[in-house]
Amino acid sequence: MVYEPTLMTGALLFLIGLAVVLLRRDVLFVLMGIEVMFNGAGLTAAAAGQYWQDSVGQILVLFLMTITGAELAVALVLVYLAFRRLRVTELAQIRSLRDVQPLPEESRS
Amino acid sequence: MLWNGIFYVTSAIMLVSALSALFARQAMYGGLYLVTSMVAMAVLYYLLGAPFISALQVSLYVGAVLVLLVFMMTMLHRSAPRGYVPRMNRRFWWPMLLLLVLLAEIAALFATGPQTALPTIVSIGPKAVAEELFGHYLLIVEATALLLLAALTAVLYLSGKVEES
Repeated sequence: MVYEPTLMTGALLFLIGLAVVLLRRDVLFVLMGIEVMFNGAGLTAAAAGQYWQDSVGQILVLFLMTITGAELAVALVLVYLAFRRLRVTELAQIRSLRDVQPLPEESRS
Repeated sequence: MLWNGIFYVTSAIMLVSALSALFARQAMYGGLYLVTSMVAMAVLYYLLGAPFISALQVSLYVGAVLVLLVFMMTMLHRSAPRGYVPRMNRRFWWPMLLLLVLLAEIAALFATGPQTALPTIVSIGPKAVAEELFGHYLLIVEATALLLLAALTAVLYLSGKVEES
């Protein structure tokens, strides 16, 4: 039986992606961790589809890939806007929505 | 037995390279490990009997999504010294070694012909996927196209903001 190791691998991949999202502070690494999590979910979906010998799992992976592309395009443009405005890519530095201590670059509207 | 060996080695490569992306110092090395992980994932899809998704994994994830990520890395990390030449050091060779093992696996897989080793694996080809996709799930395809259009509009609007600032 090969589907149980596949499901375990997908779960481990999801956990690794979650660890990347939670542990890294660079926003690019956070996006990479989200990609790894999407991969783990896709592997689980494909394995389940093959288990029932149905093409629905592959269709789910297809939609997952499309939505990942759309998400990443918008997210990367937002990251680039934040970099242009704040000159940082670390998540802890992007805090201009906070009330106290406005950054000096935020004077222009 | 060959199927099992390739499956477990590919799973190990995928997990190890995804874990190495967690500990990579520079974003570019993390991207390289991520490429390795996604190519290993494509091999896993092929082993599970989904060749269409395997091809799409290479062309969509590695070809589009990660190229986008690497492109953004080159734009964001300008603090690297000018004239920086990537040396062939240890951090460069580990992803290359993993990629070479993957390449040897793929060669062994295709050299042994079609996958009829395990009777439980049923290959579902692109034709079955396409019939289901454009038959039963046509509405979701249209919804996804709408989502992509919305993402395109958002990216165009936001990149206009980039040029203003």
